[in-house]
Amino acid sequence: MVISGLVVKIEDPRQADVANALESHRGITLGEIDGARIPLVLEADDDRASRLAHDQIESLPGVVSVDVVFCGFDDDAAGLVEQSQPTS
Amino acid sequence: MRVDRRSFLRASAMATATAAAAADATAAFRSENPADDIQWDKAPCRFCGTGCHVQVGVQGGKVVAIAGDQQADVNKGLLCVKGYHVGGILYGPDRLTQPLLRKNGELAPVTWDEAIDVFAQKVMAAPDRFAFYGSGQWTIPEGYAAQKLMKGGLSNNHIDPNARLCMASAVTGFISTYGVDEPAGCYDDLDACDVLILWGNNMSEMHPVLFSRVLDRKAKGETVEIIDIGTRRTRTTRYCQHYLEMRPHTDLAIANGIAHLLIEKDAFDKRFVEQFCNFRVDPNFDPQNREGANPLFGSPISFDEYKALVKPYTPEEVERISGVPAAKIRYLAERFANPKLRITSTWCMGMNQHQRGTNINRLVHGIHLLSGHFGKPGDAPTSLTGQPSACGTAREVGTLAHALPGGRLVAKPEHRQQCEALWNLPEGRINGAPGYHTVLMWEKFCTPTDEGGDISTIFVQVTNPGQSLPDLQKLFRNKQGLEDKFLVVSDVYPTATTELADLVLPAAMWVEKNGIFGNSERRTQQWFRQVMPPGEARDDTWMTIALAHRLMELGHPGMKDKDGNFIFRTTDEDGKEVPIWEWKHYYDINVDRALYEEYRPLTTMKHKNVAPYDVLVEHRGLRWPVVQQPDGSWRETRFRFSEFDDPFVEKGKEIQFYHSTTDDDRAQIWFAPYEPPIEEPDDEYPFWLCTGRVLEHWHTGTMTMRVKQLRDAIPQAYVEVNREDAREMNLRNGEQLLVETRRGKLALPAWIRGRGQPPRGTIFIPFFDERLRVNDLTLNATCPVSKEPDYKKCAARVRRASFTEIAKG
Repeated sequence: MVISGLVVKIEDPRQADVANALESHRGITLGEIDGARIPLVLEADDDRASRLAHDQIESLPGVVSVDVVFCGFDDDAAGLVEQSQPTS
Repeated sequence: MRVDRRSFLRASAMATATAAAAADATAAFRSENPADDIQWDKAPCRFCGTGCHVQVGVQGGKVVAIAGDQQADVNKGLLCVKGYHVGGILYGPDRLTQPLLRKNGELAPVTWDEAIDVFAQKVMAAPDRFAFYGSGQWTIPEGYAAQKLMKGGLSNNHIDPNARLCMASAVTGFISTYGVDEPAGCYDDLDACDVLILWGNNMSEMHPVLFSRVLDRKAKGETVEIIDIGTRRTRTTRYCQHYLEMRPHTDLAIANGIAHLLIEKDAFDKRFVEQFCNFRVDPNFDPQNREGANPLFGSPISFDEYKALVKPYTPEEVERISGVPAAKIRYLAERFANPKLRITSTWCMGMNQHQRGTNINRLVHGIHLLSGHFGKPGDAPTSLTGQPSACGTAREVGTLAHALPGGRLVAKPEHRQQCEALWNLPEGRINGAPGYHTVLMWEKFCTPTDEGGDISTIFVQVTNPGQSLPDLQKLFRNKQGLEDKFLVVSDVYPTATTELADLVLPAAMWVEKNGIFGNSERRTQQWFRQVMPPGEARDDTWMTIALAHRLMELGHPGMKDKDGNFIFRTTDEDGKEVPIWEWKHYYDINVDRALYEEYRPLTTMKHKNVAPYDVLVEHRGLRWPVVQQPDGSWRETRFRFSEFDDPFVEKGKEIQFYHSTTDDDRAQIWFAPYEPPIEEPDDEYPFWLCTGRVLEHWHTGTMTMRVKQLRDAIPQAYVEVNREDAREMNLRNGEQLLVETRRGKLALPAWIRGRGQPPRGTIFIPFFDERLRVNDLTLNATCPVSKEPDYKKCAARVRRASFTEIAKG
């Protein structure tokens, strides 16, 4: 599971379409909308799905940009720590 | 525990996003949940020169989360895609964990004692043929230790950083204009400007958080006009109101065209120019034909001479040279002619990696000075750095072949004496002759000794020249087969450079060690070690000190000061020497703090006063000059040379260039002409080849290619091809092409509808992929003043690759 915190900037703060579109997306939990910026948490099964969702959000009409502000490492990444321990 | 961690991460993600959306710097992302056992601490991001701060979450000795730091002025909680994966760079499965020495052609494990001894013996055999090749990713103490070892210990100036490949032209531009390096403005200009001009600067991919800062203003309804001047459409272009597509190298003509119009229309800022500026010319184009001028400082000219020199650059002539329509040149000039606007120019490699890099830097400073768009928030010409401490280490510590710390030069006797005094060295220890700059250093190393190749051993730290140098065959791979040449490489992963190394030293990286960086806006940033390095990996500063100590044991006299003490002698609170050359004692004291505090007095001569270490600990970086106030607090400076903010400007002066090269508090407005590039497309090689970076990868990809998410996003290099060119050649997306230049060839897939859109006759290849090394193709021509190579333009040809060529890569 990949957990990211995103801030989506939108062109028009009054535009409800973007928020509705985001809300309907699986794995997205919206935070409290602050003017032209929408905070959200994106949970995806894996990195590929996370990246895809990010791209989909970015391509939504009315979206200016998507900033990532938080990333929780998945268990795979933690597993790499074990692999990188000294071998001698 | 897994569920707890997931819940915690989810809550932290939402708290961070909400705080960032509200831009509430006081909102903490830390969980108040007492069950949370993740430890958080600050660190600057490891990648570019923006200098974003992250919060690093550590659990069980591992980095498990990264968050944008809400308290950081630079990024206000935001991160780019690389930044939020920065923790992953520590955990690639092939970390180097023990020293390796080449024996019978193979790298074999050895102990640290043997590694340091073999290394020291090589240096002892020919100390004057030893060179140190460092980095803008060196922390300040790492660079300072290397500098002291070489110049103060070995009396050897063959030390240069990879910053020579990226920032040297910016340095010479600043010095020849203002008499002192580094920008007068800062990122606050991005918050205040009405017009942002990007000179060959793909900010949305290279400095995305800064670009986001500008877009954020637009999202809030503020008017910010963004003008992109470039040689190919990029991700940045999408967000710009104007795109001025120019032929490579012709920015020189565009800048002169603006200057010409400002004068012709009588629209320059006469008061500013008369009070604060002189005029200067590139000595090769001196109208008076005077001889003997220093190329860095040029020759003085009058305003009338300057006016006559820019006169030929009419909008129509600039259009003929650059391809940018005359109307757009006029529009740009009108922007500069409007005193009500605040104009910020930014640039990075587009202007620096340029055969006339110093001159184009000078010209852009010049149009800001000529128009008076300088010295007020939002009015600034500002270079951005590509590496996290190109400014802090390479430029401020002065780890260049001609420099000493704090803006000093090896050629100046008084500067040498100042360093000798601080380092308690006998007079005359520091050599007054500049050493070899990067390209020359590697050329000498890769040339047989009996043919003049007088560099025999190189120590590489924190960089990957085997991939990043231009013309790789000549400057790197020709080392193969030269048996008397010895290459020592400190790194964290196997790289193109370790492939040819004779000794590989495993290094600690980022939060596996203490560190201090200096970012693009003069901000010095400190962090503490937060996790242990894997295996036998150790700090680069320790390696330098251990080498120095072994050299002392072998009898090198330069490793002692004039009292007979080790040049890196470090004592504890009781004044007792701590044997920091022994790894087990290295962290008995804070060596970073000791070296930084030793270095700090050297920063005041050029008014680059950095803050005390203990003050940095409490901040997310401070911008120098940092000056103590009567109440004991330390105040940073946002706008240098401006009376309202810079404490070193005398009262009533308004603007004072107090390190003026003409000793009259004035900056220099330069003239330099457009000159054709050294290599241009012709019948044989009809395309322009440009190289660069992409959002997801940083430099040679040694770190980002080990992060699954980033590697998956852009898994390999490619060649961007213009759609019309592709149609004409009947090319399909993904088809393997062979790109050839006069120096080499490379097979790689075509990207026709990619993120970047080159114009007809131009191709672009990123340099992050170690399997597809574009620098086999690039030119080693350098700017004659800065000695920085030009990676942005050379002539190439393109055709479909055969199966054999694809197999060869």
